[in-house]
Amino acid sequence: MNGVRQVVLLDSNAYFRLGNSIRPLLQQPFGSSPQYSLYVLAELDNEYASSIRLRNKFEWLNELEYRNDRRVKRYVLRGKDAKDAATAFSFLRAYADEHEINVSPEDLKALAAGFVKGLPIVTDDGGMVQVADANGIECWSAVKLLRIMETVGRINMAKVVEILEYWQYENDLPAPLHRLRLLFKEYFGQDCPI
Amino acid sequence: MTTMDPLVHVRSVQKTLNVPLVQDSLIKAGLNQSGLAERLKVSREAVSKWLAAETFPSPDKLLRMGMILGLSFEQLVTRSHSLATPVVFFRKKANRKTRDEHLENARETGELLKRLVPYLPKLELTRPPVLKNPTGDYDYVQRVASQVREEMGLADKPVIEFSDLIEKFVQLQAVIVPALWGERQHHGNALNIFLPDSQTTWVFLNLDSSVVDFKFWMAHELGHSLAPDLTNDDGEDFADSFAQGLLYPEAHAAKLSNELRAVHGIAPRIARIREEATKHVISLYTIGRAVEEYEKARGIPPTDFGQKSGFMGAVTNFTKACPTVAQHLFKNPPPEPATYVASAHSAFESPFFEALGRFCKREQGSEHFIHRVLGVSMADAKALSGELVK
Repeated sequence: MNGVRQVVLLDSNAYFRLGNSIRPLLQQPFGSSPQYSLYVLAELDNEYASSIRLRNKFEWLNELEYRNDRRVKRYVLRGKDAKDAATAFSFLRAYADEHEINVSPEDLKALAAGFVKGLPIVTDDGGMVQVADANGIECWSAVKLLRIMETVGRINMAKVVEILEYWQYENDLPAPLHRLRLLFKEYFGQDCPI
Repeated sequence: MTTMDPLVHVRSVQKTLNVPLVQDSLIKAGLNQSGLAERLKVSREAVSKWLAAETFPSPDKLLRMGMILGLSFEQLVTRSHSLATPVVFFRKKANRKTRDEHLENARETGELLKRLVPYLPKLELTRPPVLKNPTGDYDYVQRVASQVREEMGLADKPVIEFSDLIEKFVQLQAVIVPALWGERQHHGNALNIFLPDSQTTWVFLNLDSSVVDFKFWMAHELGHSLAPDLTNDDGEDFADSFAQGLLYPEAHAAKLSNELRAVHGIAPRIARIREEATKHVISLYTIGRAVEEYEKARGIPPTDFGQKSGFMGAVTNFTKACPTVAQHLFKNPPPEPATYVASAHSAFESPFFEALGRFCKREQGSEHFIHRVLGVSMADAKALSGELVK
């Protein structure tokens, strides 16, 4: 392996948005310096299993190909890391409650895991980003991840356009269209194709 | 419809560090103030000011301090709320760990509900009358139940309907929150939270419970709403006795007690109790307890209807055979969001989703709020939020 390995955590929505467009999303690392390796949190499968609506909307998640992709790239904290994440979670929850930021416990757990292990989290959830910013936790937008993947040749520009169009078709843009366009311009240095 | 002014709700929390614990933890970690300052990349003066309560650390420094000292937020920070803590009605006898978790979750729900208060339809300026000195005494409870039945215009009505109970909740200005929590054990099927600062009562009722249990929990929560000052086990005992007295009052219990004594054998007695349960749409257990308590209060030798041999099995079988409220309301539960929202209004006359809808239209990320308040999955919360902002 060349260079440093950079683990990146995906929140549930980031995985739902990218998982069946870039295949396999998780098992294939990309880049060389650093080499990026994407993971999802174990809670994703619990969330999926407990929701009829998610199972209907994202049927593909349950297909063998995707289950296998997630199986080996499920990020689980154990021992001291798990204890530290619980401590960090208490601070993040208190901050979100005090500032009346609407963010779920599962999302705060993802931020806590990222904080404890010093890993960036891919999320476009406004509440998560707000809590992360205030507490010095690194978050990436899905657009930033696409740009990294495109820069290192993991995907090409045609794939980026296909993904953006898919999000638009599914009415599942990671941000309102005007903000998405600004974000795209910021990272890709060109006008957003949608 | 006019709503309360959202700007009235201002949350203010005074925070200070738990200095003795910080100092103790510094010693355990082999650090002094300078060492802590170095680890946090701040000046020693900054740390000194935090410990003297002159300033308070920013969120990121606070988080890092907690990690260095191994202290959770609750241990590191002392908070004094300007708004009163929600009062949760909850029985203490449950398993301690479950109880603490349940209580903590319920208080958290109460804190979240404070944010919905400004969006409720304008409430009455007066608080509805509540009981002066409630106790669990049999005669007292029967008097209260009888008076409430009379106020509800049900003095001569043998069977209390769901709609009668709902009407009383409306009179008591309680906000019914119809929840879909799946199957739960006993006290997990209802939750009563009183918010002292807004004087509002929120009653969560699990639609996934059987209709007979649901009716009991409605009457039980009505008992809490009538006696909001009675908390802990005393409050639970009163609410249980009140529910029983309201749904199956002394006159019914006395008549049934006589009838049961005239019948020979456990099975026929249970069959007679089952007839009553079917007629009143309440549990066999509620009726059995009503008979027992009547006989005890009036000094009548207890009737054996198989309390130690078969009665509880009959209770379980009867309850299992009854549909859940969700099955009764929705043909194929779980319901679509629009059906769920509409039923809260039509079946329970609840302003809950109306308030939640207003909240969703003003707040970003309201699906997270719904996820936490209603205990539904994020996907369901998103679908519900989408319905409410239509």
